[in-house]
Amino acid sequence: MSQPNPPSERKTRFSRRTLLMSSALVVVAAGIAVPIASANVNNALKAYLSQMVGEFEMEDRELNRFLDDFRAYFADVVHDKGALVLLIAKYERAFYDSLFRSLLPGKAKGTLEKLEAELLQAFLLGTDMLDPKRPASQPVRYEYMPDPYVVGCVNRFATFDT
Amino acid sequence: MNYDLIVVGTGFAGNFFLKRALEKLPESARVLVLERGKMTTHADQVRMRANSETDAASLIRQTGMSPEEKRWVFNVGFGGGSNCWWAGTPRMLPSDFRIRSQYGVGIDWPISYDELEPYYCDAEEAMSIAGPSENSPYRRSRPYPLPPHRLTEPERIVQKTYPQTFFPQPNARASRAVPSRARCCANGVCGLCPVDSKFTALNGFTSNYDDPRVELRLESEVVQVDREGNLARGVTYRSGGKLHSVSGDTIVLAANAIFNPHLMMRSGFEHPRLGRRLHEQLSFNAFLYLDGLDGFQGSTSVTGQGYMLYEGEHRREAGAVLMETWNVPRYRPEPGKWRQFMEVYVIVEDLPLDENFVEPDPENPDRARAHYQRHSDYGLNGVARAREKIPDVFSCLPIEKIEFTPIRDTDSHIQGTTMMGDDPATSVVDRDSVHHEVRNLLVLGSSTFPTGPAPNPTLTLSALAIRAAEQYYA
Repeated sequence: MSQPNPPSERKTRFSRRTLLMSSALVVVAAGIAVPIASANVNNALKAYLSQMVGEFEMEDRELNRFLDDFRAYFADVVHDKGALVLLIAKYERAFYDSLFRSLLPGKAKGTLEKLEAELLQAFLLGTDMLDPKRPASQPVRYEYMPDPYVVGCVNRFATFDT
Repeated sequence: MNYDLIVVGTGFAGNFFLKRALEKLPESARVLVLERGKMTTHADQVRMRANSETDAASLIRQTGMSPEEKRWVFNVGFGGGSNCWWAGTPRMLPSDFRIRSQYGVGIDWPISYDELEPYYCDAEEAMSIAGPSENSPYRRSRPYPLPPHRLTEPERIVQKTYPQTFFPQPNARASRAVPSRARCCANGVCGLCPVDSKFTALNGFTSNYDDPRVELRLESEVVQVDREGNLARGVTYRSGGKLHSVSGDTIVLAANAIFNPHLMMRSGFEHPRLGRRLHEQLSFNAFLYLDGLDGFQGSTSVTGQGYMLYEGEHRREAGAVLMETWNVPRYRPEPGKWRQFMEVYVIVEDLPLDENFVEPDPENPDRARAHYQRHSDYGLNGVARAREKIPDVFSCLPIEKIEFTPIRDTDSHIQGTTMMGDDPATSVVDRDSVHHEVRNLLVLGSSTFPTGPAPNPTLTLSALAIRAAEQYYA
């Protein structure tokens, strides 16, 4: 009967070539995975945005630019650069399945709700969607990410006496 | 060196006391101000997107209700709570000072609204408060320094319905630019104002520290008030890992309602009420979904303030209710209805309970233990009454539905713990905020509040601090 090696004698052997190939594979995989993950995140956000905003006409490039900026902004808001991608990757179903969402841990649910509120706020304040001067025939344009710590005053619906 | 005055803490109470004291003290006076935290400039706060590098929550341990159910918000650093407050500055009403006499519950304050009124005006002047001078909710002897902010369209309807009880909220978010502050532009992130519009110690109390009589030591944590019998001799503080002792003729504690009693208890002070009656208001949100009426046109974050559920015989059994109406840009996630929404922040008076207290943490005395067992029945009755009455109160609006949140885990106003009163047997400090036994020790801030009325406490504690300096140096 063969005996397993004692722990101290267990070894995993990699040749230098294997190591190099593995590293290359990781780099290539990351090169593919990151844009895919990024596209998936944007798609999830687009789907949720269309639920909240309804139908609107906006060039895809313009919308993606908004979503890319939003992701960077939200990462600052929640103080976690990886939070958005991980959150959506893990809980994508929560965007369209209310039962699934109701079963999420409180913290994840809270972050998702914050994400949604911030997304709607950023869209309404950062685009000319509700600008009365925009002709109805003109597609919605992204103007700026309404991050008050970068832009200053961002509330386009506020009115002032002077 | 002996100081004429040692002030512990640089929040509202410490700074307002210091400001008035400097008007009274001679040219030769020496004043030392000790602050536990660092000074973080507004620009650095914006860069960090945080008020302070210090994790305030690590300085206390919550027991009783779990930390998820109950937490205490404060800021460690120069300026204390002035950095993170939302700048609401309602006054208390005359009845708040005499709740026992008027409604047979709680404890009367040892001073009256009329005694405090001139100091309310002084604090409002110093902070350039924007508020309604005409048709004000308060009996006033001077107008507000700045005109009120604009209301939203739904709020205008509410105001028309309740002209005697609904007003633009008085606040320290400038409705016009003033020398050290920009005009508010309603970003809705007042905890750290991006445009430096709200009043803070950093933009409002610099003159205190330009005064050559004043020496400010940062990162200096006071660990003990040094006593000889009924006299405070000075304080011992920790800085750079070492303990230092300084002597002073007058000692002022203004370190908030957690750390005022914490410090006194560590210094050997004893009193049945010291550390007891820890409390704050109870609060929750009411979300009003409107049918065909847009909101969000106001000129600041919190625009209106309603007293419709405040006064009345119900206060014999249920807390008074103050309702703030908000203009923070948080929209309704329904196509086409984004702005058909109004958020009401409901604040309910609570009556302090002796069973809720602060003490040095037995596990680590450097840290405070906040034991909060429960809310009072009086406060909970007020919450239940508010939920029942709010649909009727706002029936002047085209309401589709109303949602209520649970009671929040904090109202960010820590109160009680060094109660003021006329009777040394039942209170820690007197009506002038002077310790009943140690007559050269003053304890300032909302820790001296005998009860927990609904209005935000900052203006009242600021007025009390100015009045304390006026009385002490009279």
